[in-house]
Amino acid sequence: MIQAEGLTKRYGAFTAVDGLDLDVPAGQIFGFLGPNGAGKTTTIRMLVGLLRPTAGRVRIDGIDLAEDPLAARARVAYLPDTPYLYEKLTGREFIHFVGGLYRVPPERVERLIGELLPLFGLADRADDLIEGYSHGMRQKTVLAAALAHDPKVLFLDEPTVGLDPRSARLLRDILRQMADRGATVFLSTHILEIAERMCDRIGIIDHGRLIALGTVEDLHRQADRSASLEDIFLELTGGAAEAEIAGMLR
Amino acid sequence: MAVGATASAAGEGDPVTAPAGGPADFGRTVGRLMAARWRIAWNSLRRSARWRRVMYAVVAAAVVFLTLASLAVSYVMTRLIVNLVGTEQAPQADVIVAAAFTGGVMLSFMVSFTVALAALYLSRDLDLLLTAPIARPAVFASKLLGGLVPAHAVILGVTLVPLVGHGMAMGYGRGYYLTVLAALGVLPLLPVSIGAVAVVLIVLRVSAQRLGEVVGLIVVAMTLSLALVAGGARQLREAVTLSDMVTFLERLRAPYSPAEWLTTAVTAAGRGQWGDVATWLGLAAVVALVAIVPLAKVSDAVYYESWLHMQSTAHRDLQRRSRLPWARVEDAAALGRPSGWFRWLAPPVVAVMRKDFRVIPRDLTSMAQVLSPLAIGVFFVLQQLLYPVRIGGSDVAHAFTTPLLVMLSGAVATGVSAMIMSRFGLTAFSLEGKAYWLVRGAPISRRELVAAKFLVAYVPYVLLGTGLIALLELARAFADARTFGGPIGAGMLRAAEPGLVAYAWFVMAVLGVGVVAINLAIGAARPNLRWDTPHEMLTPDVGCLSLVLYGGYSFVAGMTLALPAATSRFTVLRGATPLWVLGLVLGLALTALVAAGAWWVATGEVDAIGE
Repeated sequence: MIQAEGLTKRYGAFTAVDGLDLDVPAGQIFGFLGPNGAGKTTTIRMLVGLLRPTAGRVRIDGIDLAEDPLAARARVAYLPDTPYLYEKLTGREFIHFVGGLYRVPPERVERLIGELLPLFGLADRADDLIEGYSHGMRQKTVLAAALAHDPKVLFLDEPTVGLDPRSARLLRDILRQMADRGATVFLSTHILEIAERMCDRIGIIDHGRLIALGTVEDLHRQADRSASLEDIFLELTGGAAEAEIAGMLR
Repeated sequence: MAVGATASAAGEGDPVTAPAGGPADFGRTVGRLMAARWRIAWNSLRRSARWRRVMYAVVAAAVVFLTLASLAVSYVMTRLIVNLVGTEQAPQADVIVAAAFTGGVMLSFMVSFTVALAALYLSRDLDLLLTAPIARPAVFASKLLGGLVPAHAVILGVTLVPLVGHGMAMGYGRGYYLTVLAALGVLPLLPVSIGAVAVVLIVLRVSAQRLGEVVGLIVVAMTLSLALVAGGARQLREAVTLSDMVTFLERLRAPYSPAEWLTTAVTAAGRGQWGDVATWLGLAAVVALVAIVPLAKVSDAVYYESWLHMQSTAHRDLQRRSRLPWARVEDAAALGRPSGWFRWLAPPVVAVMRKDFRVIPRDLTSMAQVLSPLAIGVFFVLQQLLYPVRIGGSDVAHAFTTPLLVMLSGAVATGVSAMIMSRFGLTAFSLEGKAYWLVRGAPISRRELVAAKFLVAYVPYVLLGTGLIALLELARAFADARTFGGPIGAGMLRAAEPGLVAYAWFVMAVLGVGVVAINLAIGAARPNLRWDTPHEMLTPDVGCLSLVLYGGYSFVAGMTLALPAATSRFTVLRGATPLWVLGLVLGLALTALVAAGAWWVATGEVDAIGE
């Protein structure tokens, strides 16, 4: 469902993403891990078409993103790490606006709003301007809007940041349901527990290169069987030394 | 774990301690904060794009030109006034100095309040600074100086130039110029103290954001007043002589005004009356220094208290303001449904248009910026009603010149609408701000997006232009009916020129295509998505470029389209109709060329926005 071949992004002499190859099949939740500045957000922004790659290609549901961007984008939804929205629209207007962009009938959008906003605890604030929303409320509004066109691929960049435990649990359930229905979920996270519990496959990126790829079991096999995902992550990304320093400070 | 332990572990030495206090520490802290501010400004300038640096150079050249022009005007005016009053010793000979100081003090008052508000409460690093172990008066002083020094450099420069011109015209010596510099050093102290103290005390009661909006509206009201005062300029120019102007400026001089004290000191220096210099400059300095006392008093506890008040009220105000009790479900659904006039457009185009039509009017700051050009339109309508433009005294001459007047109405309507809508065109993409990722990632084509943004500016342009032409024409017909006597209604019908008005409307609509397209292309090529308040969307260099390009296009295309029609009844111009047709063809061709070029630029640049 998501295919990236030799995906590269350079900013002058700096290479943010270096020849990344990836193939995520339908119905899978893919966890994308990496330390700060490893290239996670840049990769996701290239996969959703927000950033033009310096080299390489992306296919979504078999459609080349560069050749037919509109058809590819119509199959995708994206939830960024910082949900910048239109401050002067109400939550309801925002979701209808996104519905309009994706050519979803307003009746379907309204039905979705009726179902999702009460679940997210947003029903009584739906007609307030977004400028009065908290970070978590904005996240939930974007998520509701992202589901409006029933995307085949959902990209989420640090989706649980700012969500309360109830909403985070709800998000996990929604993502699992979507994957079970055949959609592909691609999420980046720093919370390794979420990756371990939710993701069917995990990719670890460091300095723009994919340094590990497989199921949690595969990664355990590659490392010491008893090691946790955190240990594997730190070992692969060179974070073991920092962990030792942190231990000394305790 | 203690902070100190962390600092030690990080190799910083001793734990973080509270500030030592005292004037030396205060000075060091202010110095450090100011240096950081200047470093940021310098880095921004140094790393700015080459085209932006070129624009800065153009602006600097314009400043030099204006300085020389101002110098020449003040020199010539001084000589003319001296010739008029017959002696250099008469008080009337000093009106240029008095006008310069009065203007400087007034500008300083206006700027001090608004800049102090922005610097002391609305800058984004205040949370960091006011919670850091830094003396609060140092934060206060560095913020105030950082905001006011650049603004006052401009004000003092504007005040200095006519004073130099006056001194040259009067042949004053070195003492005059030194006193001028000392007077300019004293000038901002009182306005800055009063402005800053007023801001701190008001923010104790009113939210700073709300105060900013109110001040914005006051500025608009002042612009409107200036436009209306300038409206009388045509009548004033006919009636006022140099003597009247000198008398008027003399009347503005008030003995209790600091501007007058500085005027007396400076002119006394020119005449070598050093006792008067010491008295009046000393008085101004003492009053200014006394005014700094309350400034020092509020800079610590009161400033912090007002900042805390702002923190607690800002969230409450935001929650209150974000409620839209009139919001209806079906109105929200219209964003995703092409209906009414827009039913033939694609849903993404309608979504973007309706989103913009809601977002723009809901932002007071954004709306305040279109009110000033609108005030000019209101002024022209009032002007046409109160002082109708007439060319030729007789009925016959009037009949010949009526097309010219109708086309003038069209030109005014086009100018005002273009001024307002060029801003919407320029900021069409910047308006998306940090939320642009939504549109960029959505299945909306480049052409659909550019078309939507074009219509967002063009539809209101045509509506506003139509309204203004209708009002101006009604005013013209009313003035004609009143001039020629008889019943007003019948007179207005007789004066009506529906064919010409329809053509003026057509010209306005055609020019709008070019104006909006040019601005859209510039806006797509130079967007600014990283803004926090709407006025940051537009940078001065982009505004200047837009004015030059759309102004040049409007002038050429407007003259080509409208001039043959305007002069069509002049009997001396034979072959008016072929000229009219030729103008129409050329004007339409130029507009088509400009619109196609702008469309090509805009659709080409859209992909690069937000990268």
